[in-house]
This record gives sequence, structure tokens and C-alpha cells, in this order.
Amino acid sequence: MNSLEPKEEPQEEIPPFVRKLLSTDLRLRQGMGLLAVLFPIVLMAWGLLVGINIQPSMSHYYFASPSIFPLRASFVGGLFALGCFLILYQGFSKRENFLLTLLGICALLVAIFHMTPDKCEVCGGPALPWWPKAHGFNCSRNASLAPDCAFD
Amino acid sequence: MLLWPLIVLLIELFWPWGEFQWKILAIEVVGVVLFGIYWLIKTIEVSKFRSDKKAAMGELKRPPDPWPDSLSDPWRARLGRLLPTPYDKEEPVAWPSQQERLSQFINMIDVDGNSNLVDVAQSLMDPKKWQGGEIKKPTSENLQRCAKVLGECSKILNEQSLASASAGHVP
Repeated sequence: MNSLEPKEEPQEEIPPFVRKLLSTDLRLRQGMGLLAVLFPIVLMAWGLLVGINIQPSMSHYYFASPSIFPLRASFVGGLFALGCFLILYQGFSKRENFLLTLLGICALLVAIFHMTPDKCEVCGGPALPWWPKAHGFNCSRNASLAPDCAFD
Repeated sequence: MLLWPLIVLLIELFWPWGEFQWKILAIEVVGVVLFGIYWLIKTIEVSKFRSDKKAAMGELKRPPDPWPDSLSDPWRARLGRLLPTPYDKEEPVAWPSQQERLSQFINMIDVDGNSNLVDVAQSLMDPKKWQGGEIKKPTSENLQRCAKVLGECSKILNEQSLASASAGHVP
């Protein structure tokens, strides 16, 4: 046997701190993906659990109950978590980074600018007349930006 | 995902089954879940192919800027400054390649206090030195070993002269 031939490919030595950073990045990515997948499911399941029927759209969960709005926290909280992550996450290229940031801003704006409540006796309607229009605009921005990120 | 906005438009325009209470909800859920699944698949892909580790070790090249070639340089610079990533600001770390490290290692091997591995192998294989009595003539087995050493070193150091020296003695 030729002793000069290497027995196996030498493994790259990654410093422990870099390994930790990479592991954190991977976990954040996994968490973000799971949050996105589970967001609508949790919204509907939790709604059914507290006695709220399935709503016509996810935005309807903002005003899902006229008196206590129990799902507003999860709707707004989920969108804020997703939005902040998308803004802070650095994409693999400048274009991806730009699109992800734009997507994150729109997700935050969807949460901030609520839709027009269908029937609400206690909320008093939108704070400003144009408020719900901004909601629709940001929803459509999200729908068009997400595929761009996928193909970047 | 790319087709989903178009599909939504077609659903909205040509929905054949009349009023459906949860149409918007279904469209939203499919869109969000699709994005989540895409994100998870991309994460698994990054993890499986170790591209994050390769990038950290400086073994991956950044993709070229996506701006079209027709764009003038000032506009390229402006767009380049748009939300720059840390990779854009820092020079990539120049990690030595495996070949460079092996080459440094070969040069570090000190055989007799004065000569490195390649020098010793070359001098052992030099017939002039045996004839002049400078060194004892090596056995044919030792010569073969020296030839193998030189052959491997020539691959690492990428020196043709070592390869030819080695080739002359390999049986």
C-alpha cells in the first residue's frame, strides 16, 4: 500500500465561533420557514379553539371577535415576527436582500394598516379613511414580491 | 410561486363555482404556505450542500451583480450601495488552498537538518553523486521510494522537472 496516498479527504477546520454563527443562521432560517408555514394554520386552529369560525381571509382575524379580539395578537405578532426577520436577514445577493427587505416592510405594513372591519360595533371603524386601502396595497405587494425572492 | 399571482388573477376572473366564502383565505394560505415551504427547502439545500460552510471558508464566489449590462457605471454604483450586505464591504478571506498548504508542509519537512524532503530525494537519485562517492548508492527499493516521493511532490508543487525526474526511475 502506498503510504503517500491520503486515506481520506481532509475535513476543513471551521473555527468554533464560525460554526456557532452558521448553526444560529440555520436555526433562524428553519424557524422563519416553520413560522411562515404554521402562521395560517395556527391562526385558524386557535380561532376554532376559542370559538371563532373560519374567517373569509387572514386579515379578518384582526377583528375576528367584536368584543375581545383574541386573535389580533397572533395575527399582528406573527406578521411582525416574519416582517422583522425578513428585514434583518441578509440575502445571498444584493437583489435577494433588497426583495426580502421590501417583503418584510410590506408584511409589517399589513399588520399596521388593518383592513376595513365588516361588522364591528365597538372598534369605531378605521382610524383614518385611507387606512384600509394601505392594507390592500401591501397585501398585493407581498403577493407579488414573494415569488421574486424564490427565483433570485 | 412565480405563477401563483397569475393563478390568483385567473381564479378571480374566471371562478366558475359562484360565491365561495373562503376563497380569499384559501388563496392567502396557499401563498404563505408555499413561501414557507420554499424557504424550508432552501434551508435544507443550504445545509445539505454545506454552502454556508463553504462561504464561511471563502470557497464560494459571490454571484455577479444582477443589474443589466446596459446600465451605466454611476447607476450600477448607486444600486450597489442599496442595502449592501457585509460581504460587499469586506474583502473575501484568502484561505490557502489544500495544495498551498501541502506545498508549505513539504517545504517544512527537514530531513537531515539542512535539506528538505525534495532535495534529499533528488540527491539520492542523482547518479553523479554515487559515482563521485559523495553518497552511498541507494538500493533499488530506496530508489523506488524516492521516485514515488518525487512523483507525489511534483503533483503538489506542480513542478514538471520533479515529475520527469521521478518518471525516469519508476520501474
